[in-house]
Amino acid sequence: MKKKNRLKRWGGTLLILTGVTFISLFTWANWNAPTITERLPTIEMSSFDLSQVQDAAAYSKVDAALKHKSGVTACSVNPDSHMATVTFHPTETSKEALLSEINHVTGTEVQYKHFDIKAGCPMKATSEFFGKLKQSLCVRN
Amino acid sequence: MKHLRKITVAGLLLVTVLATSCKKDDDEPTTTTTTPTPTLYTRLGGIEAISAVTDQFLANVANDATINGRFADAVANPYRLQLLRNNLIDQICAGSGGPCQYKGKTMLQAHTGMNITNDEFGALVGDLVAALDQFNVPTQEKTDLLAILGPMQTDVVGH
Repeated sequence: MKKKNRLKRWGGTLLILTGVTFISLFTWANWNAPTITERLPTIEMSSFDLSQVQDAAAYSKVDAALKHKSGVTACSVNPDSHMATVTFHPTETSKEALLSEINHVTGTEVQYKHFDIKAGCPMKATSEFFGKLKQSLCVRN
Repeated sequence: MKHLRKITVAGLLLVTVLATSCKKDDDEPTTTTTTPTPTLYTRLGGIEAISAVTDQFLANVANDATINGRFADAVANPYRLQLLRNNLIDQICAGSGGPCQYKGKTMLQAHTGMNITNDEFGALVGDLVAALDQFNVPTQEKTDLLAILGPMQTDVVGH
């Protein structure tokens, strides 16, 4: 009976602590309204290796096809570096859909491009966890 | 005592009314016929246009073999890409007189230890100019924007 009461008390304390933590995090995430930039729809970026594409005209076809695809915000096709890079809204299209479009236009099996990392980009990687947590808890968007 | 309090309140009210009513007429803004020059932010087309140019700029940078290795981390991680993009937009927006505030590190802090060369900086500026050209940004606006970003070179290169 005594053990049961202690467990009950601990359970209650834990519940209160969890509740307080959640409320605190929720308040922190929603304290400031998102800035004008944070309100913009998020984008993702994908790069494709076009070294298999030999036909020069195919590059302009890829450029035209990607630019007109829904959800694509910017596209850069470079015949010199044999690459195509696209920024897109992930809610409207995906990198798989873009790859399939490029494959369709060029008639070849194009691969994703992977970069050699020279040095870090000037970004705060350590704040990524808290940044993502804030984004997911923020309801003021 | 009650009367004294009433008198004090009435006195304060009277002083307030007099103080506000005595405001000089010449404090009021004078209406002139000249229209204010729109800020560079307005001339560029606001946040939507800056965001579109920034996306094109990022795509150009990722396609540029001279510097894309520097941005590989950001390209691979959507969260970091978003941060980079937002910082770029904030910087252009704030620098051009828009309603944004750049909250990132200073250029010197952000690039210290990266040993960025003049060629790499030149390539980056070239990618920005290409993005501006793609959106047919007029020469005046392009020059004004590059004049804002140009002085950053001393803080970016060689640290």
